[in-house]
Amino acid sequence: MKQNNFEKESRNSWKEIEKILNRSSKKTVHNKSFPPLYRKICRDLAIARSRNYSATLINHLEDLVQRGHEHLYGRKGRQRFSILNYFGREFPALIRKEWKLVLLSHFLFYGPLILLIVIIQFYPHIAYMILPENMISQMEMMYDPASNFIQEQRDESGDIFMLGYYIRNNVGIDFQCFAGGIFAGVGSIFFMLYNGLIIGAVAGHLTQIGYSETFWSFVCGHAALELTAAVFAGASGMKMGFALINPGQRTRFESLKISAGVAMKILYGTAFMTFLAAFVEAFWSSSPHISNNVKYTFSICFWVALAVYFLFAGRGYEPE
Amino acid sequence: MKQVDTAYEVETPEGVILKLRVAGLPVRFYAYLIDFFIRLGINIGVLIIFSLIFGNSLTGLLLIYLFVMEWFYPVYFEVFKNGVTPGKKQMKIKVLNGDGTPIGWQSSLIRNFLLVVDVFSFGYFACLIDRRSRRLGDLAGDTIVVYEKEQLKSNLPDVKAVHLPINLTVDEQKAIISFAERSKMLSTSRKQELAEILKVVHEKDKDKAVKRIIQYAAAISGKVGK
Repeated sequence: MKQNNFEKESRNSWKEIEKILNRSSKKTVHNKSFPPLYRKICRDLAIARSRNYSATLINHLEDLVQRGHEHLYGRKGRQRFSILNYFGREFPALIRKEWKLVLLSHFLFYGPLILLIVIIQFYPHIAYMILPENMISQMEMMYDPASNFIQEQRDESGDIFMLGYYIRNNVGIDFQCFAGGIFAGVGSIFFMLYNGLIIGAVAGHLTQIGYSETFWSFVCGHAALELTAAVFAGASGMKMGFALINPGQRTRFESLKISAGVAMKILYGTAFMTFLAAFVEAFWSSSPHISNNVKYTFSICFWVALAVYFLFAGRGYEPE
Repeated sequence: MKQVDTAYEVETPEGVILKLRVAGLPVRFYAYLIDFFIRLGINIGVLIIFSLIFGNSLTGLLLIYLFVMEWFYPVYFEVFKNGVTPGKKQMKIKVLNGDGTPIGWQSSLIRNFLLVVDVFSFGYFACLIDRRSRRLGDLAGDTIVVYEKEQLKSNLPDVKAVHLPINLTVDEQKAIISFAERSKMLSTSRKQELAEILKVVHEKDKDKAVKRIIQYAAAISGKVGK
């Protein structure tokens, strides 16, 4: 068949499919006339190619097939993301499934942290070896029990400023911990160790010079959410990075692809935890109206609640 | 014969092979730069307007806004605008899943969070080495960046068909049709130069030679001639 006759015969169905594709893309997927039209145009393209019809015709059909392909298969595998299912079952189940990495991440973070707090009680000068001078003086000023720095400095707009600051900074750090994992996990490991060291040195130093009441009562409120989230972010980065080192039965690329998906799923919940922690830090931890004992009690409740959530929520659920 | 080509072939469930043209490092980098400056412009604008209206009282909200812009600007466009950010639109490229389907949240988040790493380190090398020009974020998210398909409109000139005096092979016929289709884009002298190559055309007048080839093309493509 000559090209012109072929075009004449099929032109109407091509026009029709083009009309559907040009319309808004979402609703028309359910248009029942689309799949047969799409199959027809796939056939037409194959015919046009095998009969060596002209480049413009083939190009035009390729374009339609490409767009039709995107249109028909675009929603593939996109099940409705259910927030309820995610936080009720999938997130804690994922954390349990990756328990080895989560444990390793905890160890990398809390190891240097606790070690430094203890060591600095006996060798205070070590804090000065780790932290820069101006950071130490700034921390001392902030948590000096005599100065009431935190209470004085902040009114309501100060709270909102700090909220914005915590969200941008802390959630951003989570994302970096994840991204750093691409180098075979090294970036994530570094961030865990580094943050553990810095936080440990600050906590150790402030405790050692006797500012423990102001410091610990401030950080205890959001510590559970924020530190746990940071540790999870590290674990998610390692999940992605270690897939390159140990791909198992898959190719390295395949393994990276799948692990990055899992890591990203862990990161959703992690980012949300850090987001919540920012609210606690901005409005609860800094509040001068809440007594320290209440803050300590709530802190313990937070830790217990998190432990219960991650140990027991969604038991029996199999994440993909 | 294996062609040196950037085309990347995806087979659809219908058994049709889609040819995607992978976008290389330079064009992607330009797209990134354009996005970078667009984002910078918007940020400065918002910053000025915000501080004019609210003064310093709501700087916290501004920080949250910056956070969203830093991490989710490309994600928004890739998910809701079919893989095309403003910068990519300028360069006529778009992001697709490895199998040629439009990308979703997860892939977009993975590739754009890893953008931070790629821009400051191995991304360029990965992009140059990989056959499909993927950076690390593309590898992890299983995505590719391809050129938007150019729309070649069929523009066979409307002329009277004249049958060829001899039989041509398929490739030769195709060459003649392409010549006719592109004749509007070529300069007159170039057209004549090309037409002269054909020994079939024994026209003295160069302009007539061009016209005759186009008429042959019309005949090959099935136009009913005399």
